Amino acid sequence: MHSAPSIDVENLVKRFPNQKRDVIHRMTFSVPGRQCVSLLGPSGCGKTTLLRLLMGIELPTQGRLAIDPQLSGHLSYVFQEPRLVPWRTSRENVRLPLELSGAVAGDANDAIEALLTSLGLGERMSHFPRELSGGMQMRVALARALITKPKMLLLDEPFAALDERTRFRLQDLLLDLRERLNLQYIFVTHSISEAVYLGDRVLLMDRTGQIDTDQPIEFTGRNQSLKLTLTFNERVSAFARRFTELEGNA
Amino acid sequence: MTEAIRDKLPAWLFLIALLAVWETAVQQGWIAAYLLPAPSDIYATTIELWPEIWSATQSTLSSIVWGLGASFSIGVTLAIGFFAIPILRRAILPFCLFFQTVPIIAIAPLLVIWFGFGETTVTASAFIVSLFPILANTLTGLEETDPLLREMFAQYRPSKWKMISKLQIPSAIPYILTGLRISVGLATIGAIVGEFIAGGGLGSLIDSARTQQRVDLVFSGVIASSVLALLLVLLVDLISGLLLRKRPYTRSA
Repeated sequence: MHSAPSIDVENLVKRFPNQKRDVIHRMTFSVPGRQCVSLLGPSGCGKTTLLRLLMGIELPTQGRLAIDPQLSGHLSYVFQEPRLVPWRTSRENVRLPLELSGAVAGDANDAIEALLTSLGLGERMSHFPRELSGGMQMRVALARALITKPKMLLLDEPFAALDERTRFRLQDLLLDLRERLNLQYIFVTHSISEAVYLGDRVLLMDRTGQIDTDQPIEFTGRNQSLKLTLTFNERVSAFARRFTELEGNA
Repeated sequence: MTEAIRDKLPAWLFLIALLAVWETAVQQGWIAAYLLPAPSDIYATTIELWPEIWSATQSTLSSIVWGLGASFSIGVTLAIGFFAIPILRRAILPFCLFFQTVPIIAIAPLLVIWFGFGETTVTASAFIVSLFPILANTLTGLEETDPLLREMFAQYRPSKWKMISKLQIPSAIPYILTGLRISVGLATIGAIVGEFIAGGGLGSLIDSARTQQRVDLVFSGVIASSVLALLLVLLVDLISGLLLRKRPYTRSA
């Protein structure tokens, strides 16, 4: 089924004041509806800046950045750190977006508890962040992002600081949430296997803040079959090779 | 427990040794008792005149509590106002420095002219010296919120007041408590100084004991005011401890 692109970016440029170089330089790409995208690139290539532009935290210097009107206002951001409010319990942290946007409904508490329970935090609702492990804190942060019922999540290396086992569990949790809640996401990472595992499509960014035009594998559209023919490891290797080339060129 | 004893023991031993040397020096006539009365004399005087000392302490305590209460509520409110409305801050804050720099002993006579002799002047004096630390600490606390949390809040586009009430004020709580702790000691000084001029309480008791050459009673008054200030600081610490144990108001998780 063909649908309007969720995100359409054309010749997008972002340069911060007092900087000589564009953080993002003439970037062009689009994300079809329902597609989940991994954004992979070396550190400092502007991945976070791109997410912040999409979220509206930053404004573009030049170029076009269009977000499907059905999506805008339904985006939620998950930071690299959980960024929980230390003096609020898990339940109160999840409640925060509703309080801030003045959208606390009568059944808000039920919704919060159901959400926390579905993320395996049923026993931790009255705990403060310092009483939770890193993985639990991140799940509370996910719950906080989900309580506003977003249609798209923008995730900025949310699992990077976690140990490997926790990371795998949360990756599967994200895939599960995607199915259950009909979510779309853009997932920024510098882990190639994570990018391949979580993305319908992997966008490679190079150091100049451009989307790599020489994508090793494009999984969408015509090449959908390619995704099915290659194993996970083959896909990871293909991206790893291109990733190394990009790093080498820098 | 043993750790606590080992920690405190040297101080207690030193105090006992000091009192013993002091007592001996006075008993042996090495120091004139009319200049420095023996600890046993001070103790006897305190017991003898306890009703007067206790009543004076209560009066001083009342002035401290009212003065501190005023500086807490006005200090915190002003700080929030300054933080929310920067123009207000630029207009008024420089003049608040007056409260920090004014020598209270110099302004006390003016307070007597305005408020007369008695507790109002004493309370005003306690208020004036204890306002600034609370104001300044609260303002610092409001300004120094975790930038990561600030950015997280901002994505929900809250109103300015929601940002202040749900992020900035809670993060300022440890700072406010620090300010309160500093101000407790200052309010005690302010009250005693106020009482020197305006009468009543421990200040007046110390001052009249001085005019009567009752050095032992001066000591009783001084010790009572120190103990009072110390107990108030401990009370603030206790309240802070309970509050922070209930909810961890800290900068970041």
